[in-house]
Amino acid sequence: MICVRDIKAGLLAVAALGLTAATPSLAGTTDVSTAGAEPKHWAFRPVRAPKIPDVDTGARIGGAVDAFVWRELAEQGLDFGSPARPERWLRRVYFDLVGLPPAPEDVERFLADSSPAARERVVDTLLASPRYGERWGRHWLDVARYADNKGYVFEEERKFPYAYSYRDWVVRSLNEDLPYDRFVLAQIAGDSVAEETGDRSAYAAMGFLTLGRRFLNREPDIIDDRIDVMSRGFMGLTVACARCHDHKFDPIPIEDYYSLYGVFASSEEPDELPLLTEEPPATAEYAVFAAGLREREEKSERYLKEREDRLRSAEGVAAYLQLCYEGRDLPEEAFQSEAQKRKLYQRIAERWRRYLAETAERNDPVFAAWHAFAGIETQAWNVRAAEKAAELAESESAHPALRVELRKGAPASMAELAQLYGRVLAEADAEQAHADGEREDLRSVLRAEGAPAAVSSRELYRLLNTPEQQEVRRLRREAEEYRAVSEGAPPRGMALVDRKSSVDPVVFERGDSRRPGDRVPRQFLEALSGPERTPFGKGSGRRELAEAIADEANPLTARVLVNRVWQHHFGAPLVESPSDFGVRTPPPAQPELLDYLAARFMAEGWSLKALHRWIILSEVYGQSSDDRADGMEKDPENRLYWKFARKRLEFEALRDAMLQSSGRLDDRMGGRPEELRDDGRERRRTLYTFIDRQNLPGVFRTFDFANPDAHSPRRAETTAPQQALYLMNHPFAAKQAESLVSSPDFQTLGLLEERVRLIYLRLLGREPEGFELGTAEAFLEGRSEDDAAWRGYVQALYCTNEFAFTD
Amino acid sequence: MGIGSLAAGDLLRNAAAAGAQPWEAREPQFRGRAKHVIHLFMNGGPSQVDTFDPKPELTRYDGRTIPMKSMRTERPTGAALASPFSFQRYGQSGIEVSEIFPNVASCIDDICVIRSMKADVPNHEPSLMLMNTGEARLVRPSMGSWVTYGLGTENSNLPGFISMCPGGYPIQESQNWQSAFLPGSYQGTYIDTSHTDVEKLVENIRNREAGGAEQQRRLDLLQELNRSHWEQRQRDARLETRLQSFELAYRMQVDATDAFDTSREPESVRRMYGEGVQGRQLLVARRLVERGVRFVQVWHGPGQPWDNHDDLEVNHRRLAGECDQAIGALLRDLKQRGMLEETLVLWGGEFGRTPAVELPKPGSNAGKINGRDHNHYGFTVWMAGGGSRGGTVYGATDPFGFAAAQNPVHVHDLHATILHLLGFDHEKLTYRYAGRDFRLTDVHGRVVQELLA
Repeated sequence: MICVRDIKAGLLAVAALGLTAATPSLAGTTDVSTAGAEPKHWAFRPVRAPKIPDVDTGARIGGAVDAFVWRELAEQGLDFGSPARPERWLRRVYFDLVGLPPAPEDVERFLADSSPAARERVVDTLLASPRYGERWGRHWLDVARYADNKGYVFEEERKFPYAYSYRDWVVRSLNEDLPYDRFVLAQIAGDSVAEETGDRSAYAAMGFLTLGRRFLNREPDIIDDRIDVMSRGFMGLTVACARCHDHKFDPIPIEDYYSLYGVFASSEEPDELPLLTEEPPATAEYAVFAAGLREREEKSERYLKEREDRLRSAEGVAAYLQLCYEGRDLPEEAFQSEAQKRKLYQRIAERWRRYLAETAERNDPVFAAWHAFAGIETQAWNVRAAEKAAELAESESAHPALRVELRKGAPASMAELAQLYGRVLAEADAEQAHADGEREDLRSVLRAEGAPAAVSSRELYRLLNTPEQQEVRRLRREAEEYRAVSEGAPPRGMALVDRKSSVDPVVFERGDSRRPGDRVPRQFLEALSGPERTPFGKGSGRRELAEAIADEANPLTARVLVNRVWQHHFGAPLVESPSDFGVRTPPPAQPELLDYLAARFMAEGWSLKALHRWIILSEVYGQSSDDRADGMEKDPENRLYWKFARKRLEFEALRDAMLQSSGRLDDRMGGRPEELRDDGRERRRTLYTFIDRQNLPGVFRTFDFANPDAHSPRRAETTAPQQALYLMNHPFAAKQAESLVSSPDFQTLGLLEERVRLIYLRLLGREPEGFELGTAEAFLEGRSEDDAAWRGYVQALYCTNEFAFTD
Repeated sequence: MGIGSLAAGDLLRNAAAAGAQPWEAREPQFRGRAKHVIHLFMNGGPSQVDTFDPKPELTRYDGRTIPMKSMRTERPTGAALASPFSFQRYGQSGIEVSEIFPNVASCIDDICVIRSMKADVPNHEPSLMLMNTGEARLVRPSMGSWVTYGLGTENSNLPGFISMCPGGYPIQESQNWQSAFLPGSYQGTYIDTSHTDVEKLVENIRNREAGGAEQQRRLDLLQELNRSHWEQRQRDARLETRLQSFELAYRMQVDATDAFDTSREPESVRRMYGEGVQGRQLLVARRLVERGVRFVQVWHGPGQPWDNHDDLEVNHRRLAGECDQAIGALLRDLKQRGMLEETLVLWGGEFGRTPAVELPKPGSNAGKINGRDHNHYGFTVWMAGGGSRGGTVYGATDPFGFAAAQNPVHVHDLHATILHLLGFDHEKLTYRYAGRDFRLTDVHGRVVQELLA
């Protein structure tokens, strides 16, 4: 028998097979994708290393990459372009690997020897440089939609206090060449990695999941963001398209979305985020921080405590009692607004009212006097009160403490009686129970469970009126902010941990959490694990999910990563949509090249640095970026790589290059982000700038920075006059120019030619040509002694296309 | 895939490959009536029954329970609260307008009042997002971003999409004009119109060190080097575009300064718009549109000024008093200059307000019992110019002004209609992202033909 679900899965599979018409009978016999027959969609097929093509011995073949590319070129009658000029190759490699220009001495050394061995040395040096992790870390942060804050929130602190710990973990992992499968594993299940290996830094890796926008704390949207960043980021699958219905194109049924949803719903961010070291550091800085934090946390605790104490103070008790008496005939709503008028908490007033009614019911001795006096008509008070007092003073049914008081005389009014109760009860109040039963009876009025004034601080918060709640939130925010900005606050991981009990997810019909549908198990995607998959069994299943993604058998993970790396080196990816490898995405022009790289990448230990070497030391990479008539005619889009791509520097590289060439770059790594400044005096790499996802500074938008709201597969490349205005007019550019011109290196040079040469070497990584010396002379004519003129000259060079592009 | 994705998704990809400028003017899908949009955002939510939707029944029931099923809004509400303002018929169309908008009323024959608007929830944040981006919760591009993406702009010396708010941000801040997954250039450029100094209005517009002559010299040097570099690189189009962007930037320094400088307007024009920030920012809006800016959003003020839970009479009178003259002047001015035909002016908030009085709620209002709560079931927006049908009223709320009762127009429908006026089929202005073709109206929206002239 075919059940409904089987038919549905079948139909999805048919879609994956690219068939246009499907009948249930056909669907019933079609198999999903991975089990049995080879899947039809190229990206779902297992990665197998293709045979390296035999190529003409006359061809310039450096390695396997060249062989694959050359074969395709040769088929079109094309060949590689001529090798790039050494200085252009050097600048290209520097920006590609470390995002900074070479120093003049690097240029000079390389121009003296640009042999293959020298090239290898350059690549190895750059891969070993800590600047490498900063450069490629930023690429990964685009994938991870990194930001330093949560986006729009109502009143809580907006900054993430420890987002930077994720950024730093990424940089360090890349520098250490952490195998990519481990890199993936830690970002989804860093908690289990930390437990397994004892390396607590893995907690930080889960920032990948947790540092997304917070959508005013709506869980379904937060989880959706996590599913999206994980599935598109690691696997190039648009799983989030299946939130409301089955994926329109790919074999991802809505049930699979909620299977993953269950994994994240079964995970939580612990209240106290884990430290990345066993113990907090034993430094003076930490001690200062810890004391400062305690002081701030105590402020909000104290604020609440004061209000809690007030409920049990003589005045507090009297006020509520008086309200209950004076408002005794009011209906509930009016009673409530009376409480509000008197600045009393409505819920506490309500509790007192109920409590007094109960004490009347059970003839509670403590309140016997209260009820007796309350029964006296106001106009009869003068006559009856004294009688009552005398009577109660001797009555067994009244509590001794009140009898003592009443012996001193009758209260003048109910208000006075309320004060008397306040005094008596507050006097007996204590945290610990009294041994003396009578005294304990008094204490329990304020302290017994369910007593009107007995509230936990959590309950108390809810009782507060709005301005008071705002104040508590403000004080808590201060503590949070202090954590976020204090130098001494030790880094913590923005980790997830498994909840104590896991959630069995249900499908939300049309994506609406108010419309729960069928229950589904927590498990991996059917399209990748086949119909025989077993549901996750350990905790939330996050670890198993991570393993399924980082598995060599997963056809997508390595392909997607290799494609991303290729994209950054060649300016364009092999597979056109780097984060959508679904059935609508055609295979790349070089399918075997992609598979070769993916297979070798996995076989040789998922090493990114090895992958860079295979690519960069190839002839394909080493070509000139110049156009050629044959190439332009046969393959104008350069899909076959008959030339290298001219690449424009991203904002970070452009800005960092200015810092580096001016000599201002402060290469301190890691730590808290620093705000972008108006005066242009910042000195650290752009990577360390505070990323405000809610109000991203205009300059980031202007320069096509990755949208920090969602996973970003590829940056846009636009040209707008605001970019030019920034370089022309922002003090940052002027500051760099000033720094270069005032440096001793520059000032000691006397001749104009020498100075221009230094500027060219620093900014453009090459010697100036004769014509360029001429333009400099013309620009500086009559003012070559004037530093201001030189600053203008340098600033103009910062604006050039040559500075902003690599060939 | 149909014609849909032909539109802009591919357009942009190709443009990016060629290094083209995102703001380059582009033709819409068909001939649109409007070429520019000025969106006057009355943030906080103006009350429909006190502005453009008179309700005699409400006056009749003043202080008594409204005899209809009550609807849930954010906070508890009580009895009917009659509008404290009188209404009067204006123009040939005889449309009734509240006394607090006499200048707008004098242009009523050019205005198309939609009295049957509805949104989804009675809260500011999601309703602002819905009105601006068509999606209440998730991050999506704003209408201005979509429009600039579809049409580019006619003056690349100025940003194509400008969002002005005096004195700070509205709530939800720059998300209101976000470009989301569209390239960052389509994000609205925020301008704090409480400033008058152009340097504070447009980032990096002025060089603090180099004067005009020195700037020109640097530009000459730069372009000489750039041209030689370009020649040596087979005249790569991307290089050329960037080369030109410096010329543009140089001119922008002059143009932007000029556009924001209202002192260049004749005294009579400035007087027409009125003193104060509203007059100035609406005059700037006109100057921007005149210079080819595609989409100008003008916010009343920071936070949510129209959110009058208390003292509605005093506050609505004050707020309308601040902007009425300027809005009336804008409409007349655009018309006199022949710009109104091509400029769509949209007026409204993120939702309306309840006809019933808001009841006290601790902490959240002052308990004065003289204001109105949020109301997304029915509210009013109006359009003028840009091919909208002036002098008409479309749709109606129930007799008390609570919910859209006749010809309801959802925010998605409004968006579809605006895109139509600009020459786009809202189902076909799409952008491929994360495996999907996204659009402003998501899977909703219909063009309301009756709103078109």
